[in-house]
Amino acid sequence: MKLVNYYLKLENEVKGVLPFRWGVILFFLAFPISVFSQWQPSNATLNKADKILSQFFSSEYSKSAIDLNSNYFQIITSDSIIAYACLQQAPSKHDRFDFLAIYSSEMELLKLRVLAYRENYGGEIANQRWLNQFLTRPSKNVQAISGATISVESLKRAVSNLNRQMKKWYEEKS
Amino acid sequence: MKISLHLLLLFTLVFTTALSAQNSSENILGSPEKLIIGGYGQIDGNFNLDENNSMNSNGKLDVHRLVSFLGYRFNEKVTFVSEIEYEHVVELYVEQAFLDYQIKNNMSIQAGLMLIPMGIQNLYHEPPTFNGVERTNVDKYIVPTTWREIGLAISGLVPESSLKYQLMVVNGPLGFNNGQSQFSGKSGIRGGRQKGAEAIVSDFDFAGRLSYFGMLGWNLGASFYKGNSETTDFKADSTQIGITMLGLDARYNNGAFQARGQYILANLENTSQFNAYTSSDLGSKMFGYYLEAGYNLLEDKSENELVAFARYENYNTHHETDGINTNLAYDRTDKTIGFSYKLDKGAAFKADYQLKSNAASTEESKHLNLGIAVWFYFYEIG
Repeated sequence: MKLVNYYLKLENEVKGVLPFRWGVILFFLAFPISVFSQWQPSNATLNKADKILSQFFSSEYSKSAIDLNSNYFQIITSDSIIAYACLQQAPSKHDRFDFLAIYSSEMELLKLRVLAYRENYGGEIANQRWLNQFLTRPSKNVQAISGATISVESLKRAVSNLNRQMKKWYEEKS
Repeated sequence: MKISLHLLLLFTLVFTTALSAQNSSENILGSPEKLIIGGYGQIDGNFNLDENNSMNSNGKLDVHRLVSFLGYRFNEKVTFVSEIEYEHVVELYVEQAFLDYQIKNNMSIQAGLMLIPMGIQNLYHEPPTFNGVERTNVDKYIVPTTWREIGLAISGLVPESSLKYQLMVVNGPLGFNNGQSQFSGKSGIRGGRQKGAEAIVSDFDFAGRLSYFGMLGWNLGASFYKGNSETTDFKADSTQIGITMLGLDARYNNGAFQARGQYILANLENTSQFNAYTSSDLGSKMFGYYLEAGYNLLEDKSENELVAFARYENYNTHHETDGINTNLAYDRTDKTIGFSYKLDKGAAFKADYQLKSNAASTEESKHLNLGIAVWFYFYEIG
């Protein structure tokens, strides 16, 4: 009760300055939004992604975020979109790892790379030969790795969700 | 009005900090997507099938292990990991409890109670990840699994070279505790595990592991441990032994086929003086290995897996002795065949049949083991 009284006193004091009550309501609305706000890739992850993209596309290109997600980009050379690049995070055993997926302009998966891995278990998924399996077969048919079960299953789920999400977005757009 | 403006400023400040999602108090208070909850367990039935065995003819039903995992990601760089374990229902342990701090991409330091990175099963011991109801005995008598002590570690990943590494400064096993040897000829250094419980420190030891995963389907590992055992009487040299342990292991899987093998050699120094002083019978060299192959009979037929496997295992805690007689009964061989029926990646029924023997006799004892194995992780995907 004391807290309510204090609040009413506070509200009375700032009356006329701003619709105080709205501010308080907004604050409590914004709190959960901040908690579930989109993942912000670290600078190290962004730099590594840029390095991989510039190696992958030998010609000059520019990139801009697409409306679906601010971590998904379209890769543009001389006014035409040549590819899409998605930065994502997925759970490993007791942490999260960052990965990059590059799609062709027809939403075909061209490259998958692990950019940052943060724990002792499951780092085997960074093996490029293993990752390349995702380019040629459905996620569920990708081979298991002994000692990396959680990260393997997590990446399989993340990639198949991303594939679906990107295809849907592309179809709706065109 | 002046007060009101201050309040407004304060309000804006609190509002923006909350939005940034980096507020430290928010991290202490927690948010669901940073919490990691998990667990694993095994419930076993062990039956001796020998007709003339009156001593061990009773079976045993046991909630062998039940482990709760609780972790928390404070931020992108800092994670806390803990595992609380019930063994045989009545014994309570902390199996792991450490803080992991990422110092750069793909490299981090850990401090706290950690697993010694020796061999396969000490690190990868969630029951659905291995075949057989019980853990391998090489990983019981030579590697004293679950081997964990308090220490400091650095670990990392080199994706370009397909390498993973871990280096650790850690407390050693307690060999001598107030006049009594904790080591034995039968179980090696197993009785000396301090498990982070008011652990005695007289020397720091070193441990490390390097794994190579560059070949598709293969996972190769090399482990080492070097140091001295701990003692409550640090003035007496004969209460300590030197420990050098080396391990090599390989795991392979390709479609329905899977195989793994492990080789562990432990060289123990000063055992002659240690045994004389403590009236113990510790060997000076311990050695063990196993080879296992399995085949998923339901490959391409079902989402579930039915893995039939066979394993040959030899472990000898008296491979060499110094100043004492070698006990041939400590040169043991286990032959195991069985099934793991995986209902999911994290849930399995297991059954196996074991023939156990030792070099002191020509008899083999027969054992049937039945069990369930579970393992799960839960994240709130943010």
